[in-house]
Amino acid sequence: MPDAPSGTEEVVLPSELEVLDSIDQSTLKYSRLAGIDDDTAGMVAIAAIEAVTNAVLHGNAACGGKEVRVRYEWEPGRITITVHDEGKGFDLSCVPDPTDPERCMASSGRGIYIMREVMDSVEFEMSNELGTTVTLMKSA
Amino acid sequence: MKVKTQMEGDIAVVHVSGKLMGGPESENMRNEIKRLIEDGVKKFVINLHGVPWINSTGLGALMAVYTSVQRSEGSLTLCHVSDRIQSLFMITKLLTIFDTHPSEKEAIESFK
Repeated sequence: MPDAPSGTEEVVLPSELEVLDSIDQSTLKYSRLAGIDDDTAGMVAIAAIEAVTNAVLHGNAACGGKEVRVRYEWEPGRITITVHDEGKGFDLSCVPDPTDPERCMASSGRGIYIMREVMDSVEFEMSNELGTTVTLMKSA
Repeated sequence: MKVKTQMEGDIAVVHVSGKLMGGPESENMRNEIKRLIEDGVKKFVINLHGVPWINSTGLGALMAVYTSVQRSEGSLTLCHVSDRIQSLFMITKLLTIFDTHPSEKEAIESFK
């Protein structure tokens, strides 16, 4: 992808699930700008939607006064998406495996698993004072 | 999210369109399936033609509906599942749980 451009874009969104449509469209757009094929871009969008869903529902507890910051960084062959919320975070070691036979019929608990399956790397930074940031990276 | 049901004999075909992303949005679907179960319906087709993608919360809503139908000793199948939703089923290992068909006609015929 020698001709793919590089760039960054940051958006600040309200804590509402209605923002997921724009996250979907933006992620597809910037993934394609990074030279990522359409099928993979669709998977990256799934992961970004999960990250923002978690930020809205869990990090910010769907509190209308709180914000979600989403930053896209793209370069030839790679996209990085950073999602920041105002929540205190959670204990990653307590996140169950949703594919465990005893959990497979559960109606929740698949978001982080989906992000990790789809992306090349998923990193969390959590702070009581500064909120929670998840950084998703995918290469073409 | 919009939900519209049509009966094909004893099979309820539930057309879902819009955003299936959990919360109040998916309550329409859950309430409609609950109403149909209470009416004695045992066979369900959920047509996802109008749903381009879902998130894990929407997936949870589908799981909740599936469980409700199972508990009522009924059966549920899905049709017109987009490639992205199909990928999500594959990632979460739910392809073995959900019975899916390319078209509504094939989904209905699967009950016969």
